[in-house]
Amino acid sequence: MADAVTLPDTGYGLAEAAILSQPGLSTATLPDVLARPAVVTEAAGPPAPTLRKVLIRKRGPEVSVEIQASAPMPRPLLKGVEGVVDLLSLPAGWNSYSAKPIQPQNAIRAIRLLAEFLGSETPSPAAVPTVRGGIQLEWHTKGVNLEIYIHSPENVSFFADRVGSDEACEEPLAGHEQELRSWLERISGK
Amino acid sequence: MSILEDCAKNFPDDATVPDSVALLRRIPPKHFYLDHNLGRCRPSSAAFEDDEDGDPMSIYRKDVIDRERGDVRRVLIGHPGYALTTLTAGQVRSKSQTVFPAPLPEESSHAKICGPKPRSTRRWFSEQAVWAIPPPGK
Repeated sequence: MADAVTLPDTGYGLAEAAILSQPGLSTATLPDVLARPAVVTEAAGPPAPTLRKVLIRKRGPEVSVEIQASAPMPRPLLKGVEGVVDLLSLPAGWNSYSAKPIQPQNAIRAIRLLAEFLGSETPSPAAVPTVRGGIQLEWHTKGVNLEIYIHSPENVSFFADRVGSDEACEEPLAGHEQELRSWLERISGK
Repeated sequence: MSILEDCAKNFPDDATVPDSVALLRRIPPKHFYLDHNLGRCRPSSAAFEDDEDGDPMSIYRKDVIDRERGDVRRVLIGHPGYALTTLTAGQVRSKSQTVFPAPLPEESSHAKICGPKPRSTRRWFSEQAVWAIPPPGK
């Protein structure tokens, strides 16, 4: 099994005409697209990918997602992206109460954040929806609890602590990017 | 009006609900995962937010269900894939929450937990919660 996949610079994603002919985006849709030999090739190395385009179209319950990347995407990143995309199919009231659907702009922010901060050895986060249409990205591993809160593209913050110690922080992401990288390195085992 | 004042006025604590009473919270499939640090599946802190419309968080009183000789599984009817977790009334009160009975026509045990729920409180709830009905397959 390949450690990474290459996404063609021309982009990959779900052809809008095709996806809009389906009842909705299933959790399997993105992996299915990624698994097509035509768009997935093995990569020799894992240089950091740059996302050149992240496009989400919603028409009622139907969702299409298009992502263009410039370099191989490590599998943990792909898995994380899939987790985020999966949230877009949640309807209003998905928590059995009055939760809002996930806002596409928050999903785009989450995908871009994952591409920017996840290294090739960083495990995939749990992508968790919030009742107001936001997204939490969570890791609870290697003695670290790390939660990134995406309330809106402009309002992103994170919490981290080390289990069994007083070491903890809760900060807005803006201005504290290096601190977040430091916590992510810990769960990456570096 | 502060959240505490609003809760005291509109969702006052019912002191007749003992601190020992188990309060059940329905957890949707996207709100639990394996916590490798704890070595078990647990709910996310996101599962303990007030409703999107500002209504306080809903729970179900196990003492009411028990008194009616009911089964807690009735709270999950119509919600496949969900799990059911518990906190005690004492635990939520320790975080400045009120326990306000709010029976519904379809569920007599329904109640509201009113109070400020900053992330630290929601995280604490998620760490303290104990499964009454664990996630399917976990």
